[in-house]
Amino acid sequence: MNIIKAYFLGFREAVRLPRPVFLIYFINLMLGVMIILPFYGIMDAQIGESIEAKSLIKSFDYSILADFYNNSQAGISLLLGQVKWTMFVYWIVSIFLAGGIIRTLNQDKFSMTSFFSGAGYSFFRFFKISIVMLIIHIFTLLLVYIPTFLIIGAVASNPNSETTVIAIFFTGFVIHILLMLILLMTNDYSKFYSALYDTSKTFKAIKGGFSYVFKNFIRTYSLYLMLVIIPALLVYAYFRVNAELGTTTKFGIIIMFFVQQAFIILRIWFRVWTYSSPLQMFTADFLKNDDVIAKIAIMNEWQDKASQQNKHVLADIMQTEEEKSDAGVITEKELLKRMEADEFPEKELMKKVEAEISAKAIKNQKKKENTTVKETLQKKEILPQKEEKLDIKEKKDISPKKDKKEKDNKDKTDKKNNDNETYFEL
Amino acid sequence: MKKISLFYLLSICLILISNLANSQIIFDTPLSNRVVEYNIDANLDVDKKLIVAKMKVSWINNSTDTISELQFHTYMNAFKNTASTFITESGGQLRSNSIDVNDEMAWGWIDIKKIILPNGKDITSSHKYIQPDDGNTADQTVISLRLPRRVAPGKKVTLDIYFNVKLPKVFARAGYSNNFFLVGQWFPKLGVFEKNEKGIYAWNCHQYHANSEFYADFGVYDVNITLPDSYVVGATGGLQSEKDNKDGTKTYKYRAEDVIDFAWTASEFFQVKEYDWKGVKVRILLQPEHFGLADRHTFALNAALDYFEKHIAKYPYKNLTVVDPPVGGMGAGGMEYPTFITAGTFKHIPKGVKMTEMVVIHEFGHQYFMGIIATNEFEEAWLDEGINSYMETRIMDETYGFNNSLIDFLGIRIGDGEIQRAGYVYGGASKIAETYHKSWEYTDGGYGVMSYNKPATFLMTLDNLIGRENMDKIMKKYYRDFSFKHPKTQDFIDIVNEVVKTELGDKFEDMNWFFDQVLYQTVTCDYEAKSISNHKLVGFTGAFDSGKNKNFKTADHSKNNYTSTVLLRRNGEMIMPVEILIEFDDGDKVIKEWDGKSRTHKLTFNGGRKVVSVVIDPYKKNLMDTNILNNSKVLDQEKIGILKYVFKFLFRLQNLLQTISFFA
Repeated sequence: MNIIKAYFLGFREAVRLPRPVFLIYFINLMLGVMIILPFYGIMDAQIGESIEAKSLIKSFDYSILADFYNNSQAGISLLLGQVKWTMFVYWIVSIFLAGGIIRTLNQDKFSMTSFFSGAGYSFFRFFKISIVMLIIHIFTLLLVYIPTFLIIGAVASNPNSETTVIAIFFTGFVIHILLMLILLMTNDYSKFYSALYDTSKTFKAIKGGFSYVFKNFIRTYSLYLMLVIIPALLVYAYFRVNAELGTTTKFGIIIMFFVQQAFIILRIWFRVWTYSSPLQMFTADFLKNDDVIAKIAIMNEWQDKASQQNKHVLADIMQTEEEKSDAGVITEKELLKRMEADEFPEKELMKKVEAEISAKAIKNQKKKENTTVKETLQKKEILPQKEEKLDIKEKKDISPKKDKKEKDNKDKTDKKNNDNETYFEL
Repeated sequence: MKKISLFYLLSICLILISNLANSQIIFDTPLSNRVVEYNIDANLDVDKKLIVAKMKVSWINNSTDTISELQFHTYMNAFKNTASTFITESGGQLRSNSIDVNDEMAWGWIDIKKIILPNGKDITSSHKYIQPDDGNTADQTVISLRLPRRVAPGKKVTLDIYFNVKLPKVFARAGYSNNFFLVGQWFPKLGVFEKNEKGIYAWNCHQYHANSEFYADFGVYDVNITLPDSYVVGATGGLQSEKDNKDGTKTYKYRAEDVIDFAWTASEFFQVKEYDWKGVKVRILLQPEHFGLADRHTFALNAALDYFEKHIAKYPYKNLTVVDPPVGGMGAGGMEYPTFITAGTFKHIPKGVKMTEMVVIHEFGHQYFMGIIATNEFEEAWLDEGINSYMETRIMDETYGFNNSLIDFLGIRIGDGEIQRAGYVYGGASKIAETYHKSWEYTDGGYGVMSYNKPATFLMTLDNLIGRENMDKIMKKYYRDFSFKHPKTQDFIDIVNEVVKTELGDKFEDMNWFFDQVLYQTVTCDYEAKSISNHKLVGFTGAFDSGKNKNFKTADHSKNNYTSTVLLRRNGEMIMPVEILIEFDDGDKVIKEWDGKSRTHKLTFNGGRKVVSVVIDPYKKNLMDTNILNNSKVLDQEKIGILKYVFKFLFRLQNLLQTISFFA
């Protein structure tokens, strides 16, 4: 999938998710309010009855604000301490919500149950990824700035020109920003990897993330930069509005408050977009891997079955007692192991899926380029068609062990009861 | 030995004759008493960062004592090792620049090679290092020279001193950075022989300290500087001549009259902007990358020259040199020497950030406060830095805007005066020491606050109390009476008292009460508008005798009569007279005066109107008040001003949180 398409398809998908955006906004606002209320109390106690409060409306008054800070240092220090904790809490919450966002981005219908199920399911995986990525961030920071300052130190012990110093620092800064963007991207792609491959292995996910980013560097980086442009324009627009509207009147202050909150909502929505577009691209590429396709089909089938506790169905396709007992927790590694050992029970199925997908892929080459990941999945019969609502039993129809008649009958009966089921959980 | 002496004598005579022949008199009538005279030949080895120099110095005994000792500053030894008083006090760092102790070239020193009397007698061995301030025997920044013959009152003593100076890598005030040289405090400079606190004549010759370095006598300097011809040179005084030595070097002859010090600079990269300001030849030596900022330097300098001319006196010298050090030599920035100042800027400094202008104006101000009115920076730094900071604030605020003179960038506006007050109020050192304090005795820091910020703030307060016109009279008289002299704190106070008594005798008998508090004590000022209460008068209620009967009266709410009470407090120890503005609900405003002495002050108003607000010091005259927020009380105040900042804070916080989410 090219980046333009990923960009716009991601936009389309993100637009469909107002509820998570407002949920995140609500959490953001509430955490902010928890800090702001005591701040208001401090400010009101210090300036509330002072004539200087009027001066605050007119313009920035250094002496008033400095006096306020000077006389409220204890309270403000306490609040700043709370800000640190709030940042930490929001970071954790953001990790939690990322799982929900990623899961719901590929669903037809948004449901809170599914959102929180995805969030909960991925939390510890994503948390570990975020921790490792944060450590990598810190190392990168040191890796960039220690040499930068060493060079500056060496050059700047006696430089005649500050341009040299500025150039060195600026170079370090630009390198840092570029690397930071790569790391931020990798952080997201690692989560996509973890979700799509359903792996809880942190380093494998990060390796997958890095691998994907670097193998598709121009696409991933360009897409990320494209995603950064709009928020940058938004910031510019905000400052223009602020300059035009001003906050020197009661009306202006109140209007600007709403503008500010709209800005925050848009920022949150842009964050969802920065998940959505790269996810579109990543998933599309992910699905080009035929082994993956087959594995996903089968693993989803197994997992769905296991999660639905349809042990009896599973039993039909299991060959050993051991496999039966492992039905609910089968891993990709085990799957691969079995495949390698030629003991894979769905070997024939896989071949069939491969053949079908290859054929369809060639046939729909042009059409494919204009479809969303979801549509692709649907076309590849990994996801049901829009009108269809399949369930576990329905998926059995692709099993070679079941005949078509049985499948059709089950289709009719099960469709009624499974309208809200999730079929392709990432 | 005799032959050598004779040789030296002849050489010196030849040099002297040569110098006299080349010297051009600057002032027909000396501006100062010219106690000292220096003729120096300095040869700079730009590779070794070494100055090889010979100096003829003369000193006139203007005292009534006969003396047998001279004392010299040998301040380059402050950079000699970590045992020096300067390095000990400063920790080897100043203004965020620090010395690289592992670099041999980083150190600096002065070696006195030879001291010879006019008769050829070598008295080198008669000198020894002394430590009059702290007794640190490792410090070699002051030498005492025992003379073989006593110098009678009115008599002159002349010496030839041969010395070498190894310049330090600049981190504080002077030194080198690559091919940039800022050569200050570099020659053996005589101290001041004057009456001490006990009224006895003695040498006032302090060691080189982290906080102070200036106190010397006025004199005449003839200095020949020889260095490679690729270098651009600037120095105290004016260039008299330059000579191509045909060996790749040039010799620049500078002469300065009626100055207390001599400094010079050299760099291969300077770009020079020259212009004339009312007969003063101004030279700005800029780094090539800063040449685009020449106009900012010029505008600020002209603003200062004009302002001082208008409010104090015209700049008396014929030359003024401004040096812009390179980034590696920024430690030499923001320095003042007679007719020679260093500034400091950055290529991309925004127009709204006027640090460069502030430094130029401040350092120029030192031409008056320290340079011309040559106060003792070691003992009374406030007369030097404090008065100068006050003048800097006036010029900055009146030139660039009262509340945005220093910073007007990205919506942040800060005035120079606000920064001075902030330094005093918020610096955490408002009570750390008295302003009248020896500069090296700030054991717990606070020199900057007490010498710059607090004096600037209390002088602005004094200005507000007595009026700008009277303040200008004070400054003009101070200049008139003490230019080219060494006034003390009491001299300044006496002038303030004199002017105040003449101009404001009905209001203030003197200002001793003011200086007693701000100079000699650590008291702080804080007045508070504690409360406003409006009680409706409803008449007496209850049972009243009416003959044999009881007449019951109930509250009469029909009339709008109130007793309004305003309660004020003095929270600080400092006492200042203040004005109080009271506003009533009918829009009427009344100004009352309070001498500020009592701890509480109550104002009562009876009538058909309520007090809605009270403001102590409504015109913000008293800048010493450490909390202006509690100076007023307003009933039914709108909170929108507070909400503005609450919303802003909330918005920034929300943005911060959302930024964090990218790392999640």
